[in-house]
Amino acid sequence: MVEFRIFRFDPEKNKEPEFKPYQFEPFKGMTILEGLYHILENMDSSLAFRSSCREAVCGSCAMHINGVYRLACKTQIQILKSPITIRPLSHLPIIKDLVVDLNPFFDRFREIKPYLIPKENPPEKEYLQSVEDREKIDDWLDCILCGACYGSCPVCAQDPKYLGPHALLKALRFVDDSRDGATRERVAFVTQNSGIFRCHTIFNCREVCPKDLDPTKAIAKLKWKSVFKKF
Amino acid sequence: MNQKQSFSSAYGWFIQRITGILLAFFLIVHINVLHFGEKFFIDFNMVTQRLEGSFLWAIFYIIFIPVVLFHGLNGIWGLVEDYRPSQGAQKTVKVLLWILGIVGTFYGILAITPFL
Repeated sequence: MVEFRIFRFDPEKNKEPEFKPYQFEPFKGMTILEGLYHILENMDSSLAFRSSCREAVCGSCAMHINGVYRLACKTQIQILKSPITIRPLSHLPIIKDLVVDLNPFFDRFREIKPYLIPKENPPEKEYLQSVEDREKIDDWLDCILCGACYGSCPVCAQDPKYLGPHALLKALRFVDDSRDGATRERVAFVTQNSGIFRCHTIFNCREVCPKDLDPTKAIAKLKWKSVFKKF
Repeated sequence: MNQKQSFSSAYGWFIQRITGILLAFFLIVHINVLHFGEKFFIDFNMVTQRLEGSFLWAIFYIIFIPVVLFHGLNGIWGLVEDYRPSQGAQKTVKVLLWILGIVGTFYGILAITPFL
């Protein structure tokens, strides 16, 4: 038997949030997300949460599970101690229960222009890149924008304008891309007041990233680039 | 993307790292000499005797003073920024910290110069 203690809050109906307990028998290998679906389908149809791919690719089901930001679909119940406490991502307005308003998160992301700005007119066919140049961006490519890093970052809690680990990691992905022509502007932009220098190198983002990326390292790299302007 | 952003915070961050490394050396020497190298009671005479005896000690403190002031005051500036003050408050605090740093450096070096 396992007990889920789930954060329940509907801003339109409730004054205060509460943790509601749900007990059920999990099957072997059952994930937190499957547990949430079990509750939704058999115990409480009013429970709200986000999910989509169920295989750690879409990043929809990031939540705070037993003290750590994780993907519900990638976390098995058996590795955690019951009762399992589940909360929504932090620093974001709650829409209902485990569903948060991701607009502030994506607003910061859009600010860094997360798309390629070519140096000159793009070629007619492929945009060729050497193997060495491609390897330079390997470490920054796999972000699924789940928000775990954003939720775990105390600077994001304090400064809503702070670009955040997700946006800064993506900024470096384009700064390091040999095909991108806006490197100087990108580095100048992330050097602004709510950019890289607000990062306190706490490593929370690195600890929680479900794709094992290292936004702290990316931010450190951007800091050095902003000083020596080697790009 | 606003392209006209300043790079000044980048240099502040970099100098903070350099002064941090220098402070590790300065503080080890300073604390070792004052608290472990000398007798239990430290008075003005003991300090002046050490400074009078060596030109290098005077130079040591002339470098130590601006390094420690920059590191400390820039650290305070970092804390202030965390509280997201208004533009006006930021400017006021920045000017105050600069004044404190310059006056502190000047006053500190002035106290050392008689021993040069």
